[in-house]
Amino acid sequence: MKQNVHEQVTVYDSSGEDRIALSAWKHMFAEIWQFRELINRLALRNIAGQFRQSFLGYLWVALPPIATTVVFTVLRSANIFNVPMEGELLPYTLFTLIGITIWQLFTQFTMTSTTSISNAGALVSKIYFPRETLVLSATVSLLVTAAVNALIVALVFAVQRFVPAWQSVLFPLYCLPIVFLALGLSLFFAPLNTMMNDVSRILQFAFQFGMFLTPTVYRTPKYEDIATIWETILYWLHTLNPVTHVIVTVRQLTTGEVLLAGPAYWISAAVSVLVFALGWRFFHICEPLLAERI
Amino acid sequence: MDNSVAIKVEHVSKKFARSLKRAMYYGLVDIGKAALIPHRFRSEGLEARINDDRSQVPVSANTQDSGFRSQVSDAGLRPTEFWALQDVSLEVRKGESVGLVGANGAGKSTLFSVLSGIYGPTDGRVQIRGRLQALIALGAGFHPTLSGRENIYINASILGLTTKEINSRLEDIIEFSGIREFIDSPVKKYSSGMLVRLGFSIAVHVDPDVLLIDEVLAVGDAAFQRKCTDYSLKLAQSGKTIVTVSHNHLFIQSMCSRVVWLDHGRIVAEGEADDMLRRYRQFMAAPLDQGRLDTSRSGHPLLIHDMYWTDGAGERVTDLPAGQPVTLNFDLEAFEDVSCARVWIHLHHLEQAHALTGFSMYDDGHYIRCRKGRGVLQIRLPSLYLSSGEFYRVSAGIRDWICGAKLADSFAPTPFTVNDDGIPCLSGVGDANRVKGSMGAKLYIPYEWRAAGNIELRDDNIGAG
Repeated sequence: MKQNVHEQVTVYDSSGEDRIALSAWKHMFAEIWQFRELINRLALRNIAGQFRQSFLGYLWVALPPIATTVVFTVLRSANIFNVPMEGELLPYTLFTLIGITIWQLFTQFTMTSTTSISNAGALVSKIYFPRETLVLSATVSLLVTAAVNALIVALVFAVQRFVPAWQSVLFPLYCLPIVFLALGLSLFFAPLNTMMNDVSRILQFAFQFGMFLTPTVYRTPKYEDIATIWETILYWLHTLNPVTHVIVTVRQLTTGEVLLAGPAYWISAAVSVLVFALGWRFFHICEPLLAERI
Repeated sequence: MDNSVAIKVEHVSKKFARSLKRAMYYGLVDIGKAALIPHRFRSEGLEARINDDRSQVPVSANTQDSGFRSQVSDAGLRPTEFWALQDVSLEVRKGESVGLVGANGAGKSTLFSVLSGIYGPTDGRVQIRGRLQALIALGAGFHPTLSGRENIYINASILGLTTKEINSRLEDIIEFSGIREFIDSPVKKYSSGMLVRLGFSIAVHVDPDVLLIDEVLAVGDAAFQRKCTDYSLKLAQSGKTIVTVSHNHLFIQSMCSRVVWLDHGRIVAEGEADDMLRRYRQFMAAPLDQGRLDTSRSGHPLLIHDMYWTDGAGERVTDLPAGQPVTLNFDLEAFEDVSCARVWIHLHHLEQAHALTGFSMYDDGHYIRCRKGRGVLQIRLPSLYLSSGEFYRVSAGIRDWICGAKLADSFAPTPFTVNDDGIPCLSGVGDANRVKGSMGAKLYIPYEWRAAGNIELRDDNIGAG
């Protein structure tokens, strides 16, 4: 029998101290690095499997934001509701499309990654591998969806004959906080969702309403113009929501209003990264408890 | 950990909740505690106990029998929780094959899950040296619309292979699975047998240092089952460390040198395979005794009060002599006159559902007539052709000749064993004791070897002497 000097000794014990200690960070990064191929593989599986049995394939990714945008544009044009757009450089259609696309990507990232563990079912309860890989691969596979969405938005810009400012090439970078925020939330919610699937239902519900409480189809009231308590509430709901700042910044990139985003954006970006770090840590700590509750 | 030890399990306990809602609640509480209270998992005294073990003189691996420990601790259990594993300690050396036996729910699968790291132990510690692979979830992660080939990559990645490793083993995997012609069709079009073939093929090509084999081998067609069994045996012989769970004792016997017997989450005993399997079977036979003497009348005209074996001398026996005449006796009571009844008897191996043989009045044309009162019916076997060292049971029933209606409740008496004390040495050479059921065979047929010409028949006992 071959003797391997470097044979690794795996330890599973009840103390869980190694997961709680500060040094766990090193272990967490090492694990992700070690399992990068698996993450890619699972992501490819999600991507390849997703639309194999459908005619329209990736058009299904593009459809929801377009449809929502069309509905709101029509409703606004028909004067069903009034959205003040004075001083806005973007046409309403593009304004809404950017808002909706980013919001829907955010919710899709969060939902898919949150349910990734509970959907894996037998895989998790029968085989051990780092469970983070499931959440991360769900996110990675959605990057393709995001790219398709970006393409669609660009197409609509072309159709509308609106030439975006050169700064808009930076939009992928400015969208990164969304990915971190979604990952952080999913790493936090995914373990809870394995225990009670109420979690994903609540999220679905929250996201449905969240869209209207984020400047997706209308603008945040200007602080100077706030007249009522409702406007105040709305203002703070928007401001405290990290997604708001990404949406606003991307819109401003396309119109060339900004190159470097303001402090609000960076604060929200920092918050997103913090949410990610905390979520990941939380996930890592409860990882050994996942399989038996699924 | 000692270099020659592949698996070391120290005082491992695992608890589960029976109620789903409770499990949800406990899960949340556990997660909350884990996240908010550092070291919440730390169990008092574990280190102390482990250190305590180390200071002890090592117990020899041979027939280390801890017996049923009397202390059944409910401490640390919340409502509806139970111990799936309790204070299990076990060591498997490199290259050793160990079998796990135990009734359903004894904790075998839970132990496997803890060994493979799926569940963290509630208490205790597991150490594994080298790469461990469990053959329990074949084909996990298969995506139905992707092809077999694509799924090999996915499944093998999950099992821990790198893309490079998969590339180099792809051909072998496809070849071993024997489904090359379907390898590019989506796996949802596969039959369940094909899925298992592919899954097994991937799993064994991971080439782990330690293998956990569950009863997955019981799927697929006969040819593939044989292939899997052969492969497992080959692995065992090639010095892999193997832990296997199976209800197929023949499989365990041929594979494992040592057997660990689990019951209700505890190790009852461990020791040399043949001996442990015998004891385990003996134990499993026992519960069948209970309630067998239920002689209350149940509305049938006939009642079997008792059914027992006697040997040639008419002595009641439960350990029957192979090769000797034996008699099966029915102690019958008729509550009314029965004009024509037919008796059937089935002879089973204890662990098998279908009968080894049967004796039926339907086949041989006999019938019985009973007047109200008691009587004895006997069936005499001039020679008992059953292998020794095994457990058997009989079942019998009585039916009306004409309409086939049941005339008495069927009766299942105590299982019996067969000994080979009385087997004559047929050929004049050889050791009669070795005529026992070899290779798990159940039927003993007297035989003798003969040789002629250039072949000479010898016996190693004589040769050695």
